[in-house]
Amino acid sequence: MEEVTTPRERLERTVLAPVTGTSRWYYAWVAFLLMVIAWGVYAYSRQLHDGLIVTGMRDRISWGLYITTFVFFIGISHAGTLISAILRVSQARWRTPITRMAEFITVVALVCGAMFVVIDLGRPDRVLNVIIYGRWQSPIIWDVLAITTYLTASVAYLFLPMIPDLALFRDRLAGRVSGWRLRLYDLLSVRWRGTAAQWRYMGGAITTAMILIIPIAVSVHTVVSWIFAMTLREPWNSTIFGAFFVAGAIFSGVGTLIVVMAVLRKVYHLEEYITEKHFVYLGYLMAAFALIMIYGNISEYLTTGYKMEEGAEFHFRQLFLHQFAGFYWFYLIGGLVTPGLLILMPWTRNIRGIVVAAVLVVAAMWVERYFIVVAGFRVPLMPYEPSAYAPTWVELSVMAAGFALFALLITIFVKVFPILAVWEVAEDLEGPELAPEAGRLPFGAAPEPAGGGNR
Amino acid sequence: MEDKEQTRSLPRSPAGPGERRMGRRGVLRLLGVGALGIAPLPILPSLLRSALSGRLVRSRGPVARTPDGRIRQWSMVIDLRRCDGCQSVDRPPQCTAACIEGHFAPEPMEWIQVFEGDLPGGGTQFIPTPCQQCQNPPCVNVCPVAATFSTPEGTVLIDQERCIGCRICMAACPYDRRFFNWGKAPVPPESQMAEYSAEHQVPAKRGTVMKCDFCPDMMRDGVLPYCVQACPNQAIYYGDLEEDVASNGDEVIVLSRFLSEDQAYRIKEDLGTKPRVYYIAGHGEDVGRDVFKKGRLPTRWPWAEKVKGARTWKR
Amino acid sequence: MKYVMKALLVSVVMGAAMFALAGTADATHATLKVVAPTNLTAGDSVDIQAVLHSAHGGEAVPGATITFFMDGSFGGVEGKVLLGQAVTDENGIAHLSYLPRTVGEHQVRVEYLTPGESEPEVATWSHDVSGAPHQFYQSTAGVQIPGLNSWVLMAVVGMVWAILLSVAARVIAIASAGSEAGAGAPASRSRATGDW
Repeated sequence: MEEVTTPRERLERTVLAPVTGTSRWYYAWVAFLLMVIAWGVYAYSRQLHDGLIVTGMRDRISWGLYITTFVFFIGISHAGTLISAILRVSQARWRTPITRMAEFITVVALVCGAMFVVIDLGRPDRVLNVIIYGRWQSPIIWDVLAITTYLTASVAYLFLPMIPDLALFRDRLAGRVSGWRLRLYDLLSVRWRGTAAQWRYMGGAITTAMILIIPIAVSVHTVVSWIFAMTLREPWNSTIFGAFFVAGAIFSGVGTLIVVMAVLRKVYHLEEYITEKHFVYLGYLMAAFALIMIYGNISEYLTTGYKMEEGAEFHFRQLFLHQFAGFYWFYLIGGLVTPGLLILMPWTRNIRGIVVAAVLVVAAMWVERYFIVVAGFRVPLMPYEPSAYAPTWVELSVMAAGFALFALLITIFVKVFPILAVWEVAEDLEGPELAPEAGRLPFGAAPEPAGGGNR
Repeated sequence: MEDKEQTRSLPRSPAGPGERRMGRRGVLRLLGVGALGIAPLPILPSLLRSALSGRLVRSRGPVARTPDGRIRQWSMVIDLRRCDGCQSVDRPPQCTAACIEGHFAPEPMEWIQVFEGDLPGGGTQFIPTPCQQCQNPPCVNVCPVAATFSTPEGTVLIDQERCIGCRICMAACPYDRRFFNWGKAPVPPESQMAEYSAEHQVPAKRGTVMKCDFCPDMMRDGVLPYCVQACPNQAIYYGDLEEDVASNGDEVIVLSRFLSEDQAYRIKEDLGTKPRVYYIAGHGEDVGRDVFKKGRLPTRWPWAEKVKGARTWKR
Repeated sequence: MKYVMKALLVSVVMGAAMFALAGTADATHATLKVVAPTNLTAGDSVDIQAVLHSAHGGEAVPGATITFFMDGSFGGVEGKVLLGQAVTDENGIAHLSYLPRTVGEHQVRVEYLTPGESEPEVATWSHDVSGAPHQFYQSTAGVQIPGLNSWVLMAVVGMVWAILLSVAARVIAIASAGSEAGAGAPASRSRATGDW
């Protein structure tokens, strides 16, 4: 039988493939992740049994790996906002193949991040006190409000553009997948028929969500930074924390997106849709944010160092010269300067170079959260000898389990839900002729090729 | 696109004559009811709290008052001219020791801790540092559940039944005066029989924060705190800013005059925390200490027997 | 004989007069008395004047240090509370500012130790403090800016959630439009795009 495939049919087949067939490698990967998670659960059970004494945290350095990883995951969650919302607002056409991945990285990262706050509590049995007795004036309550709002908005923002694709699944997959999956698609596609009225409702909802989610996302990482900036400790007593953390969040989010994109592209053969152009454009974004981060570092350390208030000298020595020097210079040189160079130099500006840069960025941003938390605590407040912090196996295991959960949720997502935004990519591929009646796009205008145009 | 093709969805029965369709009005009705139902959600915690706060102050006794009914304003003055780190009595600092014994403070907590600070010319001074009982307390400001709270007498207490152990208060305190129960607290078994109150934090609860509480339960009954009584040089004065009086166990003084005439200061005053603990500068000269005689004996926790399964930790 | 009798009588009379004038003061080398009102209001500060005159000529004694005491107790400790010290001016008057806080009857003792003497001169001043007790000490932390409170935060959060709700309502609208569109019914009235 001759295969005459239109772009649209190829697209659908690519998107349906992960859902209909599972390879042995998939099961092996899931099994590995489940083992890591199980080990982390065991480690947490030790912590529940013996208390936080099983960690390396003590009175003088009372936050460590858990809060570091919490801030890191919340930072990553800004991938979705930038790609989906900001690029959608600016109608950048090249974003269409990657919006879905960006949006579900956001949701998964928020879930994993919020998990770490509860893990860090000394009395997790009393976590509901936050709801019952919550104080509006507390930065932790701001965190709770912002993260739950952002999670809700992100789920909505992930779900809404997925409705037509879920309807596609519902229609195409009958008989090819198990019954519960079909019921799921049926339920989640909320009787999508593609009528004009439905497109209008969806367009309006996406517009609302897309505009709303940008300030929500900015507020999320701002209030997360304010857990530190609302204290009187020398390295944290800074007014630029909010802006600096938001920039860092978007930076690490783009890096994570590039890494996930590269992996999924390879595994599920999405080369036709996710091309070098996408990596290059995201790379440019990442390089721009690297410059912003370098500017933030200069702002912070030059102004503090020029004055050398009490505590600043100690902090500078530990951060630039002694205990944390390895972390800091890896972050600055390896995580900001090197990725910037890799992207800006033409001979490394390819998929491999950009993925390497992204891996460096993600690692460096975790390291940055680490030294902000731990070195910030280490500056002595009264005349005593500074302490040291060394994470224990419990903290490392739980952190590994958190990353494994992140990977696992993405792995499962890819198996159940459409990996690309089919209808958006389709209109990108085929132009306006095959698009449904006018008025369905958020701004009611016919789609125009922008930037790089069609693939 | 979709409506042009034959859909292969599950068969759906068409709406019968009696079955209601949800039309546009139905959607609006649902929207309205939904908004009414869910809009109060953000203010629900406040509603709950005001509903439940029949008793405004938790797990503590009545407000301490002067004989004519005004609310006491507890305060402390530590005369560093008399503090020599207990070098003259050749013991570990007695204020710390008495507080530990009186509260069964778990090892390694020193709720009042004697720091040795450097002086400009090279000597040292001893600075007994209890919780500074700030009037603009960073710890109270950041607590998400109001587990740490300010009282009408100006003290800052912790309700260990409400604390969730998030430790943001420990990050916020600029004086290193808050301590966490990382594991099962290393305390003697008899401490477990005490009746818990926020004013007398015994027994210690795992996973919660503790600190000096200014002994308001003792002062309500007119008994000076453990640290004040134990100081061999009577260096610590405990007073009431409202009645303008203070005592170190030996003499009674007019507090405002003492503070002004001896130029009392507060630690890290420029942070704006407005502490209730004042200091008079000195290095133990009134009890004959030489400023260059450094060192004090380390604090000991005297329990011979500890609760089963408890182990100590380093700060 | 008559002269001696007269001198004795005069000194007795003068001694008695001084005794009467000086209250409880001992008539040795100086006499001390307190001039201050007897009825005070809590919270209004008054000026206590301690007047020091020499016993013989009655002239003012300047430059003398007078100490003012009260009896007080606090925290189980009872004793003399030093209210302050003041030096007499050229009129022999020492001033001390005193702010009565506690309602009730109180007594202030004023002492002057003549150089060379072992026993001080003491004068007492009993006074009655009246008035409704009100808090003197006010904690001054914080700035109140009208309108800037947690209600603003609640309003913002509520608004954002209301908008999210409208998005959820659209999803329900999609669902309902889907069940209507089973028969291909067009939307009866067109809605403006993106309205919310």
